[in-house]
Amino acid sequence: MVAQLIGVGTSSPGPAAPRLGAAETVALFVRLKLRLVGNGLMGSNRRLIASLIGTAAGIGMAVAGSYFAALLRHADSADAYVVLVYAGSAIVAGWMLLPIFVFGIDESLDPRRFVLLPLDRRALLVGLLAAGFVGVPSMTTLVVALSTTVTWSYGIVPVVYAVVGGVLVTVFCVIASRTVTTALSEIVRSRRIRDLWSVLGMLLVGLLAVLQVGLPSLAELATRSVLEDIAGLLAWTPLGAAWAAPYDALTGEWPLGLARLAVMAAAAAGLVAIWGHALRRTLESGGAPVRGRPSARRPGRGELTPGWARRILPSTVTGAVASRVLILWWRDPRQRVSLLIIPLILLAVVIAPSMAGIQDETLVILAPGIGTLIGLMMLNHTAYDGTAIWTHLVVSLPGRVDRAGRALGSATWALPVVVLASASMCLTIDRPDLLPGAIGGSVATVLTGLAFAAVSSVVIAFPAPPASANPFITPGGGNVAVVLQQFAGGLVVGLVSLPVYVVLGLTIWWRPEIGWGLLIAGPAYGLVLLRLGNRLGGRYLDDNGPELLSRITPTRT
Amino acid sequence: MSTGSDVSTHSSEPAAWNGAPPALALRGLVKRFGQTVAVGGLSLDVPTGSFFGLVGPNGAGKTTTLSLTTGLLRPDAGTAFVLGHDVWSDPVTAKRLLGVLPDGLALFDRLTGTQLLEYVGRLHGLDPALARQRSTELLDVLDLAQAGNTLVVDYSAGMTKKIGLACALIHGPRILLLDEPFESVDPVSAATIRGILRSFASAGGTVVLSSHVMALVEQLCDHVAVIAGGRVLASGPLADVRGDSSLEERFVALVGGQRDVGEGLAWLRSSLG
Repeated sequence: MVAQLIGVGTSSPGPAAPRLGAAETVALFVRLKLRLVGNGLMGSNRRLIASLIGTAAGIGMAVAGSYFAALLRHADSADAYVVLVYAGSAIVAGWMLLPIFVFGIDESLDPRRFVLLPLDRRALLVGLLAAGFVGVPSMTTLVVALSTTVTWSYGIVPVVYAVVGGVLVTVFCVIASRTVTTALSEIVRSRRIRDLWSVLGMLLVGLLAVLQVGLPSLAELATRSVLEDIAGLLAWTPLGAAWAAPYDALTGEWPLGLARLAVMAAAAAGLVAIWGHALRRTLESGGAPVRGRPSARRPGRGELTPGWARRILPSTVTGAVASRVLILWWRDPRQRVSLLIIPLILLAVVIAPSMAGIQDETLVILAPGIGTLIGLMMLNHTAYDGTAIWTHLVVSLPGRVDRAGRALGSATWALPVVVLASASMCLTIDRPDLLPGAIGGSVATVLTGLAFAAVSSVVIAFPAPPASANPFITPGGGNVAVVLQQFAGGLVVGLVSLPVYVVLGLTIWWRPEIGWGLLIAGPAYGLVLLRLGNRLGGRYLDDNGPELLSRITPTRT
Repeated sequence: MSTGSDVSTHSSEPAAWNGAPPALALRGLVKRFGQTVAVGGLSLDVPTGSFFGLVGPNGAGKTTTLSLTTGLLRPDAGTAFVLGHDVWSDPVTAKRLLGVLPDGLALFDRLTGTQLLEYVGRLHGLDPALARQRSTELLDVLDLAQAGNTLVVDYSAGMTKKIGLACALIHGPRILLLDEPFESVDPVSAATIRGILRSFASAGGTVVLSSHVMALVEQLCDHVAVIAGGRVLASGPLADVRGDSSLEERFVALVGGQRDVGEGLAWLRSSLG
């Protein structure tokens, strides 16, 4: 009965859909993908522009890559070999890494969307693979890979190897990116992992920025022989094998080249098997999100105000807002990134210069910089609440209380951090006499930043990315106006904090005694500004609550 | 927690009721989104102590109307009175009387259930200890006690609805405004929620809920309003609105647009052999 209903039985009456052959499946999927690409050109202007930019970039890369490959024809063939293996490996690695950083890169053909259709897994595999070839990136890769035939146009065998290698590389790339996407889609569905992912991603970016200091020394290590050794290694992996094969043919070692092509083909075949396995796991998990284990959280008392902050935060409404803001600085992955990036920057600012032998009082002028940075992080702080801000609107929470709570909650961790940072800087350079000035200055910049954020985060608010979003994608609404507003905001924070820096400069290079004045006057200046900011921002919030709610609601695309 | 027993109106708007003001009085609410008129001059009275059902097809303006009433969306014209207090000119007094469960807006979901309830309670001015005590009771009644230390973001859809309802209840409101409170809630929890709402109403509270499940509205509510295209098509006591037919039949007749399948989709029947 059931079998009849879903049209499995051979004797099923009525016009049951016939089974699709491989060729029909491929045609169907390719048409679907083409239709999706085409629809990308319709719809909203933003999508149209994005598609056009993508296509233009693809064509540009194809042209540049082919030109480059053709140019290598004039180079020494041994050099061409090294260059192509490196560049080619980078392309293949890019295909494998890109889905990690840009997840949902090709959600149009999410395998889970086909679960309910009567397609067996093999047909789905073939169809998805075929559709994977339709698109700007795969075409670009194919064009560039095939243009190496020009590089190796010394004889028949090298050219044949280049053609076979080029096709194999493209096939491998498409399969690899599909495999990584499918494997990730399972992992990424867990909220915890996505959170972790976005934090790690942002930290990686931060770390790379810090590592730039170390890169030059790495470049010194890379001599010609080291480069050739690495290329030799890459040439036996799927990353570089196909790119190296034609050179073997050219130098007369055509069996070696054949072996490399075999490596490539075997790797592609292996990946198809892995992909098929991953696909089965994805489809059979029923599309249900992976649940985090609720019991993993230790059964604390679950109070809103963390125990250590209970002495600082009052049990008023302002205290409640402050407690919530304080908790979210850690629980919200977007804000946690900001938190974790501060120690990184501290390390970069304090340790890197002292390793490089710079150990003077210039460092101390950077101490208030941490405070300014915290202020800059908070320019759009209200938007992190997202639509949950309705909870404040629906009780008509006075804007002043909302602002004050936010400032208090953030200051609860920010002030100790900058005081510690200032102290560690002064001790690193062994100038304890600068300590009062550094502490006064950095407390002042934190308060100034909070003051400006109290206004800016309501007046120039825009939607924040969702909490578990990919860290490498800027959310919708990241248009020119928003960027300009944020830039202007940053500029104002800098300008308002400028007096603090000037006074601290005088302390460092003229009279250290001024520092004691800064210790008193700096925080006072900051508090006055904060009061003003809370009043202005609060009044704006009182007058424009519903409009703010709709402004920070993410637009659906 | 509400203390507003005085019903004097501070508003300059003409108060169009005799004697005690109704729980909710919506007057000429208009909201446009660009060219689309979501709510077009909607007026409605919700009597105090009633269990009021707001029914309408998808896109009728139910959610928009509730947002205009709770101060989450500013109307282009018109206003709403809560027990005589204007939501837009006297928001603090008016909103303290309301308990709101919106549909489609997030909660502070990176807090645990317990923390979220304490937070909302404290926003309403409750003492932390009292907020915690009520939160424990609410979690217990709504069968969420096990999930008290789980982040709300990890809750299922039904659990999220329930914690949202708990947020609406924690300060002891006079009027509950619930947008689709039974959506994706399992039958057992739905029975619990119905029980809570009934006891709230029988103690003199007013419940306004929107739904497009007619049977549910018919079973629970004593007053209904049928909304479509941003206007009230019919409103009043349930018996008056539905007349001799069922609410569903009356609703379809009012809203219109039902298609008779007739002889179409013939293949669907023949494929069953």
